[in-house]
Amino acid sequence: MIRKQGVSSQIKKGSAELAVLSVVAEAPLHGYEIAKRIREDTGGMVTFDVAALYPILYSMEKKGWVEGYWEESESGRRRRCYRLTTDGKKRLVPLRREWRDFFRGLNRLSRFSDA
Amino acid sequence: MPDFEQVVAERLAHLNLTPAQQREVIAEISAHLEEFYFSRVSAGSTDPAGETLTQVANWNRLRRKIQRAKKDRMRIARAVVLPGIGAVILAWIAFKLSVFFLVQPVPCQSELASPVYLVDVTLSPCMIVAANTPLYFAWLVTLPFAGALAAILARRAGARPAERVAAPLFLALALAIEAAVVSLPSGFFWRIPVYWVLVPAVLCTLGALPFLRGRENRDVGAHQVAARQT
Repeated sequence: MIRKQGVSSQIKKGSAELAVLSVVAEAPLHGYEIAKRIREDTGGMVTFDVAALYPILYSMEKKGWVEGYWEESESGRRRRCYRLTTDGKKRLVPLRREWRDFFRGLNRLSRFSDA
Repeated sequence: MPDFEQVVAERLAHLNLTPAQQREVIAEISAHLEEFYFSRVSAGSTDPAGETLTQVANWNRLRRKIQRAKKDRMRIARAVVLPGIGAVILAWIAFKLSVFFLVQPVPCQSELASPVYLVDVTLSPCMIVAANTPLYFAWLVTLPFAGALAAILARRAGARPAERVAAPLFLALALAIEAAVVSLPSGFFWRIPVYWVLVPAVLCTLGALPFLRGRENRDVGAHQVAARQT
């Protein structure tokens, strides 16, 4: 689950989509790897548990942003991997821009407040 | 190690999804929990199973969220309504062509001479088509094809077998509405529903029958893998 105290559910949802799409954009991954990569790449600031990750993945799959497929690992275990679709790439570009602008705005605001 | 597949299957037993989707969700989440369990074992945890189960604090909430995420609100429209409209259009075109080639409009005054009829106001305000004319039988021959078309379109849209039958019956519904609005005031209460609703519905359903089996949707490959896994 994304743990950010005091952040609205809308921002949580948007940031979760950005996190998942960004990770899957680099390489197709299965659910456990997606959660692990997000945790590692954010230094543990953003974490997803099963209850948070899969509803988001299924919702993004329904929207056509990611595509799920089954794959067999080296150990012989079958896992469902997710790769970014063309629609997902199209969604990721404005999403990144929106979040970059959002953080720039917050940064400016916090500097003014400190002054 | 706990049997996570059984744990997940028990706790998500009442998922309101298709059996294939349900198997897939259970296989995927239990695989995730297994990997998490092994990572906790590698990290030297004293209670890896307990830590793994804290991944889902509220299974009922997860079930609701998965259902919401997986549920396709437009599915019935794509799987039943649109194919049904396709069948109606095909049957309508067949009817118009049959009228064009086989029938001369009959004056309105003679309508009571026909035992069963349908007034078609679109081609001619006074045209009467009797159910015992060659036109009627020629049109009936086309209806299994309309039913087949609806079932094929429904199957392509991921419809279940029951929905593939429902799609062609849209034509019967359209005819029933027309019969109720246009023809019933004539007084032929049982003949019109039988000849112009029931018989077409049966023929459409017969046309759909060969297409009730077969793949359920485009993601069936993944479902089959999940089914083999479970």
